[in-house]
Amino acid sequence: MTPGGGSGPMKDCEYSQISTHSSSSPMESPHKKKKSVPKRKWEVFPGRNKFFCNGRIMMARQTGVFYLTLVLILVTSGLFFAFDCPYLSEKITPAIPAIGGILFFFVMGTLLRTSFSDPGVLPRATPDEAADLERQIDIANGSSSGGYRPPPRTKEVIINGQTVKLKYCFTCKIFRPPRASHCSLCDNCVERFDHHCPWVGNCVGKRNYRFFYMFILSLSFLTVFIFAFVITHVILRSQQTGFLNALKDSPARYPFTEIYSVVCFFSVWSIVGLSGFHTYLISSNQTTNEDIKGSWSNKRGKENYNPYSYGNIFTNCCAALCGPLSPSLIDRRGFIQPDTPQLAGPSNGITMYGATQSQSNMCDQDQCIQSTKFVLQAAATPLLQSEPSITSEELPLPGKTSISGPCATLTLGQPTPPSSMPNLTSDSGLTDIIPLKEEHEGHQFLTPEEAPSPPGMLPSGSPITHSHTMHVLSLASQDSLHEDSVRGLVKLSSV
Amino acid sequence: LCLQVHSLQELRRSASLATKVFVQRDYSDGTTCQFQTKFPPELESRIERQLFEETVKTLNGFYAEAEKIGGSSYLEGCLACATAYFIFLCMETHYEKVLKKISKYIQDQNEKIYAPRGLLLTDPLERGMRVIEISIYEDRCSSGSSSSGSSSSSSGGGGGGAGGR
Repeated sequence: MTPGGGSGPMKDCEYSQISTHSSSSPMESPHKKKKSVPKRKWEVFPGRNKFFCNGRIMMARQTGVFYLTLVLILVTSGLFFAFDCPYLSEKITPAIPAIGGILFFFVMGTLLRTSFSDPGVLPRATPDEAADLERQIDIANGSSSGGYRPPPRTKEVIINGQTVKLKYCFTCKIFRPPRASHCSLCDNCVERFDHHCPWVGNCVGKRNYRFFYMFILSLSFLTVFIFAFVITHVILRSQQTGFLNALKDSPARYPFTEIYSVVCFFSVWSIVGLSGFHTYLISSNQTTNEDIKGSWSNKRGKENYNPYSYGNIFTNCCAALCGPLSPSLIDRRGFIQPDTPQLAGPSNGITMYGATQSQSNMCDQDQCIQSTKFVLQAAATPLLQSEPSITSEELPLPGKTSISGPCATLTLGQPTPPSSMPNLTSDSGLTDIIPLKEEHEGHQFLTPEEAPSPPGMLPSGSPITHSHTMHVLSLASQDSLHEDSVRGLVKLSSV
Repeated sequence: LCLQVHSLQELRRSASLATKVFVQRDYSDGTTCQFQTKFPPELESRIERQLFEETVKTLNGFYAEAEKIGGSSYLEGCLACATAYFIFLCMETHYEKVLKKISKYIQDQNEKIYAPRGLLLTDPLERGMRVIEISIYEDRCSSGSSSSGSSSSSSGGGGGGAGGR
């Protein structure tokens, strides 16, 4: 950037220089108004999720095992209905395929519900929220924090007489509510996090736990049902023709019968076991996460008890299965709102998760030029140096300053020195890691490591600075300081 | 003079955002959605404590109603389970109904109480049910007020000086 003089034309040059530099495609004319199609929020969702059907369906990134689950269930049930049911409905009763059909329908319904719904993802903090929290934490810790690494952040609350520690999530920039946990696979904080189940291709959390439970319960019934009647079929046939003949009866079926009997056999034990385990969890109102960590076990201390339990098994079960279903907090199909136009630049309209690019694309050109003016004024105004909300604000991680979008580029003009914040995201977050990779009941699902994921951080870095700058603008003096502003530009360009 | 009662639309257009206050969740009762009724000091000069507390208490009441575990919620749950949860495709849950009520209530409060004082409540649902965000606006007309980020604008401008007092 060329050092600016005091002349008028030069200033215009500078302004347009900023806007061209910041536009997403360098060839783009700065005066062309971008009429981009409004994006839906799922398209800019910062977590590692996949969305289908225009945001209606939400799954984890790794869905391979889910398809395996689907195939296993469909093929096993299909073979059962095709080959065993005709014989059994004749020999015994047609209720068998009917009941089988109902069970199958239920299993598929609950499986799809579990896999496709939002498990209770907590949206990441808006930049203002994050700034406010930072400020409060700094106040709590005392402004003189020794090194670059502030101590790990926890808040203690007392729930029903039990002290519960709320941890700060560095990725989502929130204090996790009780029972919430951050899933490292999906890179989201999930309310009442149970576990991440690869078999259903999604996390299991507050909103889909009951579907998950009904799925494994009905699947247990289905596998037991199929297994029992396959055995019955073979027995009946062998009574007629002898055992080996029964197996050989239909040569095409021979391998299938064995295969899906074996599949059923192993499924029965593991799924029935899993259902039993989750029945225990529900009745004691615990999550898999808590159980594995032993959060509420007596071994930790005599005084340790589960503060969330209602006291009796029946109430716990009813609450978990029949309680009210909370709504999705992430509003996948909502449209990203352009910032509400305000002279000083809004910081409240930005509720996005890493939507810098789309946000800035929607900035009016005029607004941006005015915003630019304010940045320059802000740079010139020493008043802002003392603003605590600014000094505690996060900067984007290094290497990410080249964000596109006319408004976002104003981040280059940060008048404040970098705080120690950026280090936290990668370094001090690691102190909070409790790696827990355990197999349970033969099913491999990962309990979440509480590792903040730096890649996930990067997108969220941008809107922070974006709104931060806007916040700066709103505080800037409204008096025009042309000479100062140009001088300010010189300062900025040297940053 | 700029001492006028702001309407909600006017507020967005003519005022500039000074700062935001966040009312955090109160977890002392478990994971149910409740907000702290502690009065934020930044609002000291903008709104009466009692009005604010009443708003938060009413909101807490709404959320408690939404999350209430009782006869009707059980019925809804069992019915949904019996239909393999397909019924959710066509039916609105009790929670969603209450959320609509909450949204209406917040809008109502904004129009009647908060906007005239240069404040704006944001529905907690838009913030992941984590906070009640209260935006504090300063009147652009209050010229010369070098905003130091404080909500109490010294020149008596801003919505606080409006007829709401």
